[in-house]
Amino acid sequence: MNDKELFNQYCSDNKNLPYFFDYAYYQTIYGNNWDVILVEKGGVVMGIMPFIIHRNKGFKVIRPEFLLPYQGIWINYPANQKYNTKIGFEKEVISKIIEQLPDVALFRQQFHPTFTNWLPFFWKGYQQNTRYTFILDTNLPINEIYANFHNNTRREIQKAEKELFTEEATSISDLYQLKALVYKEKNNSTYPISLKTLETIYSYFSNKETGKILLAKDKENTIHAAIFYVWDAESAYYLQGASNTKFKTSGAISLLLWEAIKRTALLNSQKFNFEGSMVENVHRYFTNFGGKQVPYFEISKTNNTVLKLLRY
Amino acid sequence: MNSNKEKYEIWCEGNNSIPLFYRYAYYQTLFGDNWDVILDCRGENIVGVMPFVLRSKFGFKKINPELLFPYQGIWISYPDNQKNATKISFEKEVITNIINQLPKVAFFNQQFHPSFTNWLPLYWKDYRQTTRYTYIIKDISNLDVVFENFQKNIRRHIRKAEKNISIEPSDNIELAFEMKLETARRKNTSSPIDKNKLLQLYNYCKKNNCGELLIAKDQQNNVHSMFFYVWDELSAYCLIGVTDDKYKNESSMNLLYWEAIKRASTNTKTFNFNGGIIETIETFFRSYGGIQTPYFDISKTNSSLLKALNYSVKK
Repeated sequence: MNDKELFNQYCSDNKNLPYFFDYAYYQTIYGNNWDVILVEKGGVVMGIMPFIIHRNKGFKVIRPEFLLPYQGIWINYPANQKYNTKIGFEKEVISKIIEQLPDVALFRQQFHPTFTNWLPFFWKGYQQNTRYTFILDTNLPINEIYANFHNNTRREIQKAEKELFTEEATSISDLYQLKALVYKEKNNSTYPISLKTLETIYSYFSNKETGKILLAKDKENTIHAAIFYVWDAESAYYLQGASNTKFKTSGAISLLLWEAIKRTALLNSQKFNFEGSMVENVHRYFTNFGGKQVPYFEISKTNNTVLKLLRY
Repeated sequence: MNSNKEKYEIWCEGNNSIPLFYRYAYYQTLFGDNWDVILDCRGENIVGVMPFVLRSKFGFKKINPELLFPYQGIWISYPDNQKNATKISFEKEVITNIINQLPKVAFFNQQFHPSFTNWLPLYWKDYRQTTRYTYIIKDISNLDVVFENFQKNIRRHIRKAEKNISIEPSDNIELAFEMKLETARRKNTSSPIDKNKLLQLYNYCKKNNCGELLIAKDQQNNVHSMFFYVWDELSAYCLIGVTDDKYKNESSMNLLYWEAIKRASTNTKTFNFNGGIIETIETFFRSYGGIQTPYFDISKTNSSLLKALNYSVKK
């Protein structure tokens, strides 16, 4: 078996892998334009790193992919490792993966929060910095989750509930239209994800029934906001959201997030991950949902001298 | 003395939970009048402090990590029982208040205490961050367990060294300095530590019962190695360890670490090796059974000239 086949096999044996480390996701979304580095010992997979190489102005680049919260390395720890053995194991697996990385001008990936030891990257001249997301424990009773929201958030939701209702959408085009409009009105820029890509990703999740688009509408059936969230065995992830710029103060997004959190609490996923954010006012907004601020690593390396000078 | 320093001194005197390296007395001992402190006060209450040393090089003002300080930067004094969201906005307030009072410097770089885990307010002020690690034995109250958690080879080295080498406290900090100097000479570098500062610090620790120097000798009275560690209520910290090159294969350093841990367990709760990112040494520190503990290195380059020279990488 080649590495991709081994990876496929590993994923079908391990249904609890986060979706961004799942063979099926990469195969569906990227067809033949992706690859995987795999480290194994005696037939047992110890670590994987699926990745996509982009060509940007003649440079080969590995960078975060749209709508993937985390990528980088997934380590398959043997059971009952002693702490010291575990750190040594990480060092071995990570170093072996780095050795097999293709030659790229720029490498930048955001690693899963469980990835906490970047020393093997440090020793190879990579750089790291810590970013944060907010994660809600959806195992808690739903009224406790609600009680942990900030007053402002609860007030916003209550107000929105009077004027709006939520419903499931069957296509992603409404969300796409809203997003495109927001980008255009903000700095006259273009939403960087194409409708076709969004549709491919959405249908991947809707076919598996592990993703939903929720709309908030008023009595005239006008859409105020839309969100797209997905889930796997471990967590739900808020991937995209947009509100109609005409109704910015209607609290529609808060209402939709609350709806998504309620639905997540009924599923087997144990967490709701807000996916960000480092942006100050978005951060303040997410803080008010009472989740835990959880760090994760961004690891990068610029190999090309020209790019280094441009501080790419 | 300015009023901030007075307030800070009083606050530290009544507050033993502040790590040693954030205390008025520690700075005063090492820097006399050549340091300053930024406070975030709420009425009479101090909720955040940042003592710092301003230095000048080639006309640029800078704040860099100081020797004999594992950690510096901001120390936050949290109220009890804060909710997640309250804690995060409290951190933002305190950090922002302190950073806004920072004097204008061309370059800032400090290594923050491991309990400082939210650097976002600094990110919003264009600082950069990266993660470093130290190894910490989180509980040294049961020495049998601590010893059991050492890796086999460490235990073997200790057993071997015990046969020939004895450890005792020493006041000969000059000798530790000379040995450091000798190591530096051998590597063709100069010793980075200032002798007077080291002596002052040693005397301070001795007087306040918060530090100790240990010496490892063989039966012929040859000095193999020396070890200077300090402690506060929460932790002991290794500050200086040095081995005579002639005896570097005699395992005296393993024995010194073990002896220091044993002695520290009567004074404090955890043992911090203050290291663990250099590839060759990482395995050594790790084999004592400590937990790999992250801490933040935070920096900012304000001068465009320094930026162009790519100074942001390091000193």
